[in-house]
Amino acid sequence: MKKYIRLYIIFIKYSFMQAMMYKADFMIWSLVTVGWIFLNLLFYQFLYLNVTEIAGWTKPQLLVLLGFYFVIDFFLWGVLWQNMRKIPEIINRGQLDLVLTKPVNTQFLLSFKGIGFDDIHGLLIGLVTIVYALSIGNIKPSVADILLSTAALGVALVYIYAAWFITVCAAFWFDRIENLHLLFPSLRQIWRVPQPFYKGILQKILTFVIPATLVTTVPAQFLLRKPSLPLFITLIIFAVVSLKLSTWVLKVALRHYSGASS
Amino acid sequence: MKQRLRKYSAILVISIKDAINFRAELLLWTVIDAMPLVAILALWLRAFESAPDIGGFTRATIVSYYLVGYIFQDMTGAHFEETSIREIRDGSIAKYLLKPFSLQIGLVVRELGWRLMTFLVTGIPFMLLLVMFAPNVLKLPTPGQLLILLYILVFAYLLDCLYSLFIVAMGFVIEEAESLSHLKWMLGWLFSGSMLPFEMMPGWLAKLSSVLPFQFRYYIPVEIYLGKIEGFAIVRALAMQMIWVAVLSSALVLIWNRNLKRFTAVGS
Repeated sequence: MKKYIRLYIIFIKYSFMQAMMYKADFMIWSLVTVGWIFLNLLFYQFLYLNVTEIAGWTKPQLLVLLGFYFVIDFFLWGVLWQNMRKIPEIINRGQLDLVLTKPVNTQFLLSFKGIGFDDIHGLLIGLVTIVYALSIGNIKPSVADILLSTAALGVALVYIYAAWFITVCAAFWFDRIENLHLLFPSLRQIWRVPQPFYKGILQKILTFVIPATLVTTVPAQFLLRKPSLPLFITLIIFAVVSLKLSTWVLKVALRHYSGASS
Repeated sequence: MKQRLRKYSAILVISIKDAINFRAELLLWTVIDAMPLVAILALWLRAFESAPDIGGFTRATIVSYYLVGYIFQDMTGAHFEETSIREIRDGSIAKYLLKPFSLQIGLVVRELGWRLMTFLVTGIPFMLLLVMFAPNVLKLPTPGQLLILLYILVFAYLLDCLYSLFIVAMGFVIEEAESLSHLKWMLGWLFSGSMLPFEMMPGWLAKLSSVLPFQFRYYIPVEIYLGKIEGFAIVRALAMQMIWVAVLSSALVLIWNRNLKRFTAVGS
């Protein structure tokens, strides 16, 4: 474990050096990140000019959820994107040998080598949005609520990572789909909206088949003092199963892999 | 003229074949593009539970607004800028610049093949399903409406190609022109009516959006379809669209020629 923490710190340092080498790049992409965040905030601002609440969710409550959406966006684009994008490319070009021959866990090396620092603003603005929304909504979560919310966010991130990894592993079998790595993050549009907004069969699918709606709703619900234990347990089950499955899928996929060395 | 047509129709045929070849990719993009639609419809359907009328829209009209808007947007989008910028960066665009046809028109025609296939593979089945199973949500447009919509959407596609061509032109002089794609999407989301119908925007934003060209890909055609824009307002919208096409095409020619002169590539 220590070895992997040390390795990850090296990855962070290396990625930071890279980001600082191309300062103009860093600035431009930072602006893009902030631009999207601003537009999302604007959307909810305008929406609540027309309505006072939606399915019992007031503007501050929805802003708390949006804050989690920004934090998760940082995890998606900042922590995972560079790696997930490269996995199908590495597989299709037969460059996996380089990873397989290293004395490090293959899944770890494939998943966490690159970090995008221009998305760090998402993390900061997300946290500020949550604090601001709680204050304007006069919502005062207890320490236990905050801890449970943080734990739920952690579980959500594990699920997101594992589920995304499983989808990109499909590149071992389907080499003609170039943008496979974009399929999972497209679900972020779904978790921009709270789980209770979806109804009927759609809600059931987005909760118990692909639990996309839970990743922002469960952490937000803890802070908003209306937690749902069954939803939290569902998310935990999905996170654990997906993580196990991701390791198994890679193992099976590697048996199918052949590369003529790079 | 005939020879020109032959050249571009050959490009169109190649791109249609490409789209057929990469049909799984086409389907994947349709799924990806549909995600925001699912979320926004869920949100609005819930919002209308407590208010029967929001901004002059009912539950049924808001659903039609976003469904039809999604189809129009899918039909009229241009996405070639990212590939072209990569080709500029690695110099491989030189092979197109040396060919006996205009690169700009070539890109527009190449994208058209993909749009046509998207419409055939996903747009038409999606619309048929809606007309069959939810006739109160999606009704068939009148022949007059269809003609006007076709006209507006063709030029909406052209406008989106012009924005993409501007980004490609900037790719000749700046390294990170890809980021401008995000600017295009952001402006499109904010000003086209895909974020919110103009009626629900604050007054200043609705006014600004109604003079910008982004509205022709979403708000204007959808409102014509819904019968909210009629008569002289349609003529005014068509005239404004033509003016935007003329202004942006002229600006593009100037910028493209100036930036192309600064482009150098070795090999490929």
